[in-house]
Amino acid sequence: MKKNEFDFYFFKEIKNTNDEIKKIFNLNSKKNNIALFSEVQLMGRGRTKKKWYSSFGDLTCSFLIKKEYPIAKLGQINLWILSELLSVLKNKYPLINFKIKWPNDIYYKGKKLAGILIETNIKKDLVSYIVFGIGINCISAPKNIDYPSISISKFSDNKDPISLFIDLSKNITRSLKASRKFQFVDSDENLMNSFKDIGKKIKVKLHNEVIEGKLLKINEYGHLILENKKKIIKIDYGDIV
Amino acid sequence: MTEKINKKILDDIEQLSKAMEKNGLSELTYSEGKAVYTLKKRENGVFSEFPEIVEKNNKEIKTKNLLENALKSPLVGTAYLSPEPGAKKFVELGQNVKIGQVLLIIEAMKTMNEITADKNGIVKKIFVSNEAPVEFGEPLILIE
Repeated sequence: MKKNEFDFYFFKEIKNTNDEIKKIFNLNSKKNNIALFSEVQLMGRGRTKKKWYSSFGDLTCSFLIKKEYPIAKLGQINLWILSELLSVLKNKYPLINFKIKWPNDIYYKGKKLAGILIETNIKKDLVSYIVFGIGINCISAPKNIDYPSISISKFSDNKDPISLFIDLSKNITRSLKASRKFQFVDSDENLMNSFKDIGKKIKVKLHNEVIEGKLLKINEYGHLILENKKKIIKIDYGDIV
Repeated sequence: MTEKINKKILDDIEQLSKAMEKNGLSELTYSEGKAVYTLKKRENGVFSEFPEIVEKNNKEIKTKNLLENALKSPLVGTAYLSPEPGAKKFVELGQNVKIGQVLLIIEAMKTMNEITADKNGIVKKIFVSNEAPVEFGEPLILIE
């Protein structure tokens, strides 16, 4: 297997794609990158205590990139994964106006369509590998959740999860080969303009407080830049509420 | 490190005793950084540092060593001691751990980051609680 290319794993049903990919990697850490697809994921999860609900016919997959990165690159890694996912969706559905909800969800018409969960493994001061799970609602839009959701089937018949998975794998491989350093800058207007709520007043929930302000932009490190009473506030953690 | 500091304390006391003798003092309080020495002349003419002060200084040294040897947080975020709510903790006090073993997760920069052991050993102290915010360089876990 060449460097930057994936070993592929396909499953009928597993508990969690991120956990499974880490298990495979831990059995043989000499492996290169891994891409994993499962028709059904029983225990999908998001950040913190959030769950990810999906059905047979939706996309549930994970990727593991074995490469060391400085911890300072975390925000850029997040933006890079978002841009790859957005690029696949825009190529497949060019007429659809997808939006990104910070930090890592894809929305359409104000409803959640896809989500990313990024997990890393840190040894001393370096990220030793990155795992990211991607879930896309291809056919189902779960209702038992606290946000509105939508599926691809509402706007297209081209909703095959395998095809999306292959496109994602190709895009990521191409991107890894082209740029080994995640040199992400805010000149990627296409991505930056895709963020939801730019120019609008938003609230961000942090640990024990809620910060309000006008969302000016997302900077090249993936931070939210807000303006509140002529003060500029940079936020790298939290949830837009 | 502890031995070196203890030797320094003894040297300091000796010098202070000489200064008291020279100047005919019966009591002297002297501070240097965090160390505070109070010496009193006993009736039999022997000088002694108060034992509770020695103990206090030793405790401070021990705590300092604990913090210095602990695995520090490489980033700012929220600490999670188990993989998901209600699940078993990654590690418990007294547990043997190996290099590379996951000790806790820190959520930062929108990612869940597994923090791994930097050496083999026994978990002697866990400095952070579940879901607590952590700062860069803050001690997380002591492995000895």
